[in-house]
Amino acid sequence: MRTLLFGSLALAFAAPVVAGDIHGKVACRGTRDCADAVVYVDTIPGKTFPPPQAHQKINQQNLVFDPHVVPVLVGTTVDFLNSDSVLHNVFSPDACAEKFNLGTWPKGQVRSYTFKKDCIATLLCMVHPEMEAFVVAVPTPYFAVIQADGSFKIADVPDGSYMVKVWHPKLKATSKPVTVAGATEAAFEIAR
Amino acid sequence: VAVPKLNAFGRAFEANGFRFPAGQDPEMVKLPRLPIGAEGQKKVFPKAVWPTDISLPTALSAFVVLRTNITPDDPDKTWEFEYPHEIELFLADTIGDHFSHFVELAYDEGELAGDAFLQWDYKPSMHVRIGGINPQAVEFREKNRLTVKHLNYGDIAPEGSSFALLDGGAGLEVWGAMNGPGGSGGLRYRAGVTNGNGTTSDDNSAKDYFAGLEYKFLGMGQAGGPTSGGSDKPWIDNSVTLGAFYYSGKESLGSYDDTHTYLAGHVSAWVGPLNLLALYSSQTNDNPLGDGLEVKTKAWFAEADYVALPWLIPVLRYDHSTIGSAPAEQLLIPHISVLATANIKFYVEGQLRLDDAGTGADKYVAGVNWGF
Repeated sequence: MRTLLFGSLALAFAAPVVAGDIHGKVACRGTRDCADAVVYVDTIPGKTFPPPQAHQKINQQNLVFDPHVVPVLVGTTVDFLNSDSVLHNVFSPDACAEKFNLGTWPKGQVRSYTFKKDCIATLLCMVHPEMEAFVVAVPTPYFAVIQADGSFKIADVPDGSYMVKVWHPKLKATSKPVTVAGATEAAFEIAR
Repeated sequence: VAVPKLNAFGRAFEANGFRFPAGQDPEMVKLPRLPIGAEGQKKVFPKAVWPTDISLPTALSAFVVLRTNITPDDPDKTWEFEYPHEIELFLADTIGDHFSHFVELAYDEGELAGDAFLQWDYKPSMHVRIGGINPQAVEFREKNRLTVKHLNYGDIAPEGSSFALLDGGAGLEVWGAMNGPGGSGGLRYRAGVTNGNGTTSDDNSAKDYFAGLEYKFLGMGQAGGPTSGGSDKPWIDNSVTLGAFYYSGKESLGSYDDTHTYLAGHVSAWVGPLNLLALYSSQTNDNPLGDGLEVKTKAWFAEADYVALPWLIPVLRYDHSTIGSAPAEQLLIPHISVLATANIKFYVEGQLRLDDAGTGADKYVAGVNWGF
């Protein structure tokens, strides 16, 4: 009986902070829909998060980047695979991504870049000027790509108060404080 | 209102460089556009070409005009089928965020003609157009009239002169529109320089100059605003617009030149479904016959357009034109437009001469225009 009691107490103290989620809708004014928008929890004072070991992947296929928008935790390495039979290049004109240029490589090869800072990194291909993608490097692992209809859900967010930001390639970013207590609903509006 | 007369929204759409007002184009345009270069290439400029986009497929439309002309007192021909009077092909589009263009190829009364302009749309209050331009009163442009009969001030010249303001011309112009206080009404201006003789090659080194200004009180803003639920009567725009324009140019007539200047004032008032228009133009030709004698021409008109139903628009216009000391030419123009669909318009018009010199010169026109 004593063992069971101590065991239960130990489990109770070891249990993680109660995690909920942030879900809701974003209204996007000035675009056809909310596709490609990203919602994320901004820097949490006193908290840092180790980057994931697993690499994020972006494929260059049929002359487009797939996916078109990729949110990652700062420190994440992104692998760029060329799946086309033509040469591709990946570079970013943004200083927060060190204006990296990975060169040009053929089908089947992969080149990688690690996003070291908070950054909205535009990705372009010098060979195909119509190609474009975005890596949104954010300071917490709590992020989600917003659906075209504006709905989103950031799962497994610990209860607490956070600044939540919304970014869209063509609209002005916005942010507002959100207090998470279990499943928490939040609404945003972004416009040109 | 009915092709080709624009309602307030149509004018605001034009003032935004053929875009929805208040930057609403991206959410209003149904077909995705074809990017020519990714948006992100702007960050690379000047080490890359500035990106743009075009519509896909390219917007191509046509406009056809068939007319039956009836001249009861003409001893040679009392009526004729003028099928077609005109066939026009249009290519028009925005190009990226700050350019638009318009191309027109026309088969007009047996002749082929072309017109085109490229326009830089900095913002609604500032456009620069190069190509075929329309140096007429800001509000009363030929191309937007409902009647078959041209507006008199643009289609009148003393003996010797072949210049008509309605011909427009090749040149450059700056124009724009801005909303008034509270987002309603506002200012519209236009100024430019043209060859001065239509779309043909210039006949002299002198260029024609023009400027026009109008101010709208009440009603939808000249540059528009965010669209909301909309009205079930989108032509209604209770407002008063006052304006004036000036035009001056030189025409070479063989061994001598004739300088023509126009000064005109105009008013347009929308009261419910009724649009009242009036314009007075004073034109001076300093030497139309090469004899050094100046000729003054006065032209004015008053018109009422009544949107009885969305598809039924009666029009009544009175034209009064005096060239030099000759008796005035007076014309009464009853007209009725009937829309079978939004893009098919039937109409009947009388052009009735009220002056003695016009006895036997009455004309009637029945026609159909359609676009697609």
